[in-house]
This record gives sequence, structure tokens and C-alpha cells, in this order.
Amino acid sequence: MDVQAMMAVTVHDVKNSLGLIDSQLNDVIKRLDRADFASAQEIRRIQLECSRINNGMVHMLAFYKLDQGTFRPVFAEALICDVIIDATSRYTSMLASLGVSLTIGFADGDEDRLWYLDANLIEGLLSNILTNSIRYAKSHLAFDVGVVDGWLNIRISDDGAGYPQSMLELLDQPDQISFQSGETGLGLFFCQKIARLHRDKERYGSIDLTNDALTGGAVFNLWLP
Amino acid sequence: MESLDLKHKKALVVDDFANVRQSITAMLEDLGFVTVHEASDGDSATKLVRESKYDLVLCDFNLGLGRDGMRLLEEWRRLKLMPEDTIFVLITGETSRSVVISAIEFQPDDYLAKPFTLDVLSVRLGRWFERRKVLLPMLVSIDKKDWKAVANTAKSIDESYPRYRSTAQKHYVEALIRQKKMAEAETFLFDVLEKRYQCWAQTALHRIELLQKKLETAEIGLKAVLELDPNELIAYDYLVDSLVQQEKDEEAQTWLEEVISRAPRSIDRQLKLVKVAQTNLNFRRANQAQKDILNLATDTMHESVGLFQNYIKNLKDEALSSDNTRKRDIEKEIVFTAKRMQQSFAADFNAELFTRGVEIQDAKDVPAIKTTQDLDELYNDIINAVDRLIPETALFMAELYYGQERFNDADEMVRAFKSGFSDQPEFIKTLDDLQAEPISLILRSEAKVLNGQGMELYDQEKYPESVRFFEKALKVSPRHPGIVLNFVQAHLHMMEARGKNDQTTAMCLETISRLFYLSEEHYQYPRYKKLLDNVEKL
Repeated sequence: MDVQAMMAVTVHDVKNSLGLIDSQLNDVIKRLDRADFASAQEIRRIQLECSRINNGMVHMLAFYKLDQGTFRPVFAEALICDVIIDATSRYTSMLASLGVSLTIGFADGDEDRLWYLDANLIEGLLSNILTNSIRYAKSHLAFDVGVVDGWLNIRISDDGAGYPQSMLELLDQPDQISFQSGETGLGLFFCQKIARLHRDKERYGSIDLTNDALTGGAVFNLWLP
Repeated sequence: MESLDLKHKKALVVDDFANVRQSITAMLEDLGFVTVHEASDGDSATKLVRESKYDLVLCDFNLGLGRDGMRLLEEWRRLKLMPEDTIFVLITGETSRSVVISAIEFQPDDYLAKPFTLDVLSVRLGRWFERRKVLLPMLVSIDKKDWKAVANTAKSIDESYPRYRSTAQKHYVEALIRQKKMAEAETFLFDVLEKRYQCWAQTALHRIELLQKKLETAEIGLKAVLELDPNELIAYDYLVDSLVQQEKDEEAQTWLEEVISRAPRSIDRQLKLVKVAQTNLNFRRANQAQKDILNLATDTMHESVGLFQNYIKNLKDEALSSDNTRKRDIEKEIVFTAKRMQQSFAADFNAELFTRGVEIQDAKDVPAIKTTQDLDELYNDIINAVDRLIPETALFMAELYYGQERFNDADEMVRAFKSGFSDQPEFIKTLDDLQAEPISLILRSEAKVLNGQGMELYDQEKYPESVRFFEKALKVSPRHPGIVLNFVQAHLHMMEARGKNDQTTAMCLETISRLFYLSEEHYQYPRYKKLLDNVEKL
């Protein structure tokens, strides 16, 4: 077994342990929720960190597979609403207890909007962005879905302090991942890869980051052809 | 969720880890289930599924030793242990889904990535039960193969439920194709594709071309699909079909290997690879595939004496053309495989017959009289129990008797097998092929090349030259109907030009009489009858 394969196996193991930790933490939260709400909240923060580690592990495995040429997207038409709900539902109780509200809006009320994509990958991408947004949102998170010039746009915005300048610039140099700054951007790099795997003829999916001009909150945009 | 009455629904949780099972069960109970059963492995799960009807099965893909979740689904659906309206959800690691997706036929209703929360399960439960309600009439019609009804229900789902549009459209096209409404299917697909490129729709268009025998067009189109989307597994299957039909077997093998490397768990594809590799005389590759099949089939419904028999038989074929090192490896592998077969099928009738046959075949320094006795005894046991034989044993026995030059016995067996297996046209064709050419695949292919060269010359009316090739082909394969009849026909042409010749006539008569075994159903029979008549008139 080469080092890379060994790492992949290790990552798999870690992921399984994280799954167990997560379910045990759930049990503890269930017991604590009424008796000691503050501790339950603390455990939820720990759970959130577990999710982040889990996302990191998923990325590692995905990178490994990309490298091995065994990364296999499966494209099909999917209901965008379902994909977003799948990405958000795992955080429902977390959001409720942290006092963060979440809304999903569809331009022109088009809740039945279908799009051709790999639902599993996009779900992972959205949930990855969400894990970060939850950390920084003060009280509100919004998903907005629309179609602009034949592109599907999923916009995730929060009412936090917005992305720091270093993050906003990160996507301009996608290969310049810095490990010193603390913001490695690995997650974003991976999101960009996922977006780009989606193509229609010469149009490729992409992501961008901005801060909302009015509220100053962070805005993540996903564009799919 | 309010509308979902889970109190009266039954769920089954299958996972090899007790704490995971308990945690999932607790979630289901929190969500309103009262009856949740648990199983830790394939056997106990199968027992439960046989005993009661579940509304929902949550099954982990990885169940430790023995069958995995996907094989359980396949088994339960194929053996109809699980009714159509049971929802089957496969629980997988987040990134292992692509490993899991390889069988096209039996898809779970959904995949659930580990770890999942109560809220995720709650959302999904609502979706699963709704999906089941909407799709059930269509699934029931599919099960009954009532394609007209499938088309109707699929169409109405397509129009009223965007969430299931993709599924409904695929089934709609399938139903049209099954009803041979190709033009209608094409129009529908063009319409889908006009809105935007969708891999499945493009693939379906090429499948129609394949069915209409536009083999090259299909080939080019499918290659283009795979260029864009190398994960469209079914496109590989159609591409391989088109290549095999064009006799481009080398290329077919390459594409099969490619798709198998992407989705290694499909036994059907591995079986196809065995066949194609054998046609290419690549016995080593064929045997690798056979070995993979045996491993994939272990402890599943696919494990059978026949798989072991085929593997051992093909290993022996490979040994014939291998160097000494490989020969030794093969011998070891045969011993190992035979042992495995005996362990798995200790008292099996077919396994026992097969072992006796192999012993006769392998016997060294045994007096001829003993071999004759053994063959006589085995022959009687076979002929008296044709209804208990599996095709693999039957074929092996016929080959054994031809190999031992007991032609009458072998022909008699083939006759008995053909009536015993009359409901298996493909197997009958294999028996016909064996009877026509009871020789190794290498020799068969040699004869085929010689015959082809003869036919080319024949088409140019160079009869004497063509006869020389047919003669060589007959030396390799003395009773192949095509070659025998080509040889006789070319001689008749020559006699037409040069006048009758008694010696040639006698030779033609002798040669054509080798085909006495041909049955009236054989496609060469009318030609044989006609030429026999012509020769006899001389």
C-alpha cells in the first residue's frame, strides 16, 4: 500500500469515528437539553467542529480520488429545492438552538425548478459553505435561487461581518493555497473544482465570493450552466 | 410529516454494528415508528424479510463478512422476497457511492450518507413515502412488463411531478422502446435534448440505433457520449454490444475492461468479458474475470457449481497454450478452486459428476480398459439424469466425450441435452456449436480464418484455389457444417466445368455424410439437404 492509499484509509477511519462521536453527542444533547441547556449548546459547537473536520475529510478523500482518476460525478436532473434541503436539514436543530434562522427563496416562486447536476456533489458543496456560514452568521442565513441568462444561481448570504479581504482574493489565485494565513481556502478550492465539473458545452460552473453592499454580510454565489 | 402515519408502518434496520443499529432505531422511533426490527447480517436480514412485509428497509452497504447491502437488494428483488412497495434505502459512506453504483437493474430507492441526523432522516422519510406513493403504479406495471401501462403512468408523472420527471422520462422511453415505438421514442428524446444535453437521453438515442442495427452510427455516438461523461456505465454496455455485433471483439474487450475498472462489482459485465476474451483467445484475461466472478459471487445468490466448473474448465484450456511457469500456477489454482467447490457444494450432484469427469480427463497411466469402464458408467449416470443437470455440467460432459473420441456417445448426449434444455435457446446454440466443432477455441478460430480465405476465393469464382483452403480448414475442424458444405459446393462447381468425376463424387459424399447429426432446426439444414440431393444425383 502506498502512502497515499494509506492516508485515504486513515481518513476513512477518522470519518467513521467522527460519525460515532456525532451520534453519541446527539444522545448527550438529548439528555442535557432540558436539564442543562448551556452545556448542550457547548456540545453543539463541538458538533459543528466535528462537521467541519468531517467536511475536511470528505475533501481529502475526494482529492485523493481526483488524483487517482476515480472521482466520478453522476449527472441527472434534480429538484434544486431538494438539494438545498438535503444540505441544510442536518443543521436544523443546530440552527434552531443557536438562534439562527434560515430561509430558502426562489425567484418568481419557482420552487419546482429542476437543474442538471450531480446532486450529491452540490449538496456537499452547499453544506460545506453552510458549516462556515453558521459560524459567522449573527441571526440569519439565506439561500436564494434564481436563473440568470441560462445559469442557475444559488446564493448563500449571512448577516455576519463578511469575508475578510484575504478570503475575497483567494479565488483569484486558486492554486495559491496558503497554509500560513490560517484560512487555507481548501474548502473553497474544492467547491470550485466541483462547480467546474458541471458543464454544458463550453460553459463551466463557477463560484464567487463577495460581501453584501448593504449589510456587509458574506455572500457566496454558485453558478451552474 | 404530519400526514405520515408511521405508527402502523414497519421498518427494518440492517447494520453490522450494534450501536449504529440502536441509534438508527431510536431515531425511527422518535419519528413515530412503533415497529422497528434489526438485523446484523445478510442471513438474518433475509430471514426477517421472508417472514414479514416491511414498509421501509434501511440497510448499510458494508455488512462485514458475507453479502453487502447491494447484493441483498438484488437478491430480495430478484427472488421477489421484498414487495414492490417496500422502500429500500442504502446507507453509504459519503464518498463510496460511486463504488456502489454498478448494477443498473436493481437500484435502491435512495442513498443515505453516514453520518445523518434525525432532521435529515425526518426530511427523507417524508420524501421516500411520497415518492413511493407517486411511483408505485408505474413500478407495479414494470414488474408486470405491461409497457403500455408503464408509458401511460410515466407520462402522467412526468407532467404532474417535477421531482420525479427524470425517472419518469427514462421509464417512458424504456416503455416505448419495449413496445417497438422507436420513432415515438426518438421524437421524445430529441425534444428532451433540445432543451439541454442530457447524457441518458443521448445514450438512449444510440441504444435505438443499436436496436435498429445501425451499428457503426451507434458506436460513434456512444463513444462521443463517453468522451463527455465517462461515468455513463450503460453507454459502455451498448457500445460493447455494437462492437461485438460488428465482430470488433478486441476493441469490445478494451471497453469492457474500462467499464469494469470503473464499476467492478457487476457480475454480468464480468461474464461478458469472459466470453469476449475467449473469442479473442485471451484465456488469461478470461480466467482473471472468472476468478473475479467467483469472488464477487461468494455467499451470494450467484454462487453456483456452474461458476466453479466454468473456471476450472477454462483454466485447463489456458494451460494448453501456456508456458511451464504459468502451467504450474494454473495447476495450483485448479486444485484450490476444486477444493473450494467441494467445500461449498459438498453433496451436490453436479459437482460430483464434474469431479468424476475431471478425474477421467486428468488420468495418467491408467489402463485403457479402466477409462472405458469409467466413461461407460459416467455416461449412464448422465443420460439417466439429464433433468438434474445444470447447463455447465452438460456442456462439460459433451466436451469430455468428444475429447475422448466417443463421438456417438457425445452426439447422443447432445441430442438428450437439446431436448432437456429446449427452453434455453442460447444454450442449444452452444451445444450446436460444440457438435459442429468439438475442438478447442484456438483450433476453431484457425478453421474460421481458413474458411474465410476460402470463401473470398469462392466469391471470385476461383473454385480450385478455394477448395485448397476448405480442405485445410476441414483438417482442423472436420465436421463444421459451413466448412463441409463450402467444400462440397466448390467441388460441385468444379465438376460443372470439368465434368463428372467418380472419385470426387465419392469424396463429396463421404464429407457431407459427416453432417448426419444435423437436426432439421439447424439453420444450415436446408442447404445441407439440397447439396446432399445434388451429390446423390451424381
